[in-house]
Amino acid sequence: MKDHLTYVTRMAERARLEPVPDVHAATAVMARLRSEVRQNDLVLAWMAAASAALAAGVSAYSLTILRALSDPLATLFQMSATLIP
Amino acid sequence: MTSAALALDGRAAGVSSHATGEPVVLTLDPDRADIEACLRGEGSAYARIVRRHEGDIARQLWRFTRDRDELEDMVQDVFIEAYRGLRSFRSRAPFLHWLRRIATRTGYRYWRQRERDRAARDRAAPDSFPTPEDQEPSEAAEYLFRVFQCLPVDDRLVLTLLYFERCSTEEIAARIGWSRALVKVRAFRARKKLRRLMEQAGYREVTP
Repeated sequence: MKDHLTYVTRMAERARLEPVPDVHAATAVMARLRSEVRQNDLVLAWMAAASAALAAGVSAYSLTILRALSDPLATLFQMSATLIP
Repeated sequence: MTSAALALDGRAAGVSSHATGEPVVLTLDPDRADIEACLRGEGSAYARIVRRHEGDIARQLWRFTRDRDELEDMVQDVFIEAYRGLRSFRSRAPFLHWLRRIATRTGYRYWRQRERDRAARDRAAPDSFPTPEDQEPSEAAEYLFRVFQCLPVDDRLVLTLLYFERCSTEEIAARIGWSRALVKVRAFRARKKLRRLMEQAGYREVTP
């Protein structure tokens, strides 16, 4: 005899008639999703700004090196500077 | 309505109107149409999905908590998680089934997190066994909720799905992600523990 289970079943049948509290989640869900998107955008913006700053520094440095390397007389002047007292 | 997608088995088809010759379109599965709109970036489509299913999900999660604020938070969590996984949704089964699986996981997680913080008084076994038919539905729900709270989380989950949600073994297996054999074993053990709990509290079986 599964009397205790019959009791639980009867109680559950009664419980299922209970009205569930009204929930209006749509506005809150959309607000939370929007704030998540904003946060992600903010992280991406910071990463973009940081990489842009880094790229600017690297290109400025490489430009100076490139200028020195691409000057054909630079080596000659350097050699003469060491040879001529 | 003259333009929308006819969503049937994942295919779109148009139907011509006899009167105007314009394509008349019927949307058989509003969820599918809204999911596609949502993936295209239409934000309001997801709000429509939430409004359509929030009642069903709240009803399910009301078995996991008796606190309205927590219920609201849990319903939101379900829809946030569903949104994040929207691209992985395969429309072989209705969208609501997928949401129900997420809701079950959310409720299960909630119980596990709460288990550590729960005071001993929350686990107090029932001291009386009122006649179910004499109880108000909310009293019956509260009573059964308290009885199930005395059991470990896994047992509680199986019994909640079996008795409150009237799920079959297959449905429980699908919702939790356990095998059918495991669900049967857990259900057997949970019923045994429930019986012991009720007997310890003074419940006696009535043999005819």
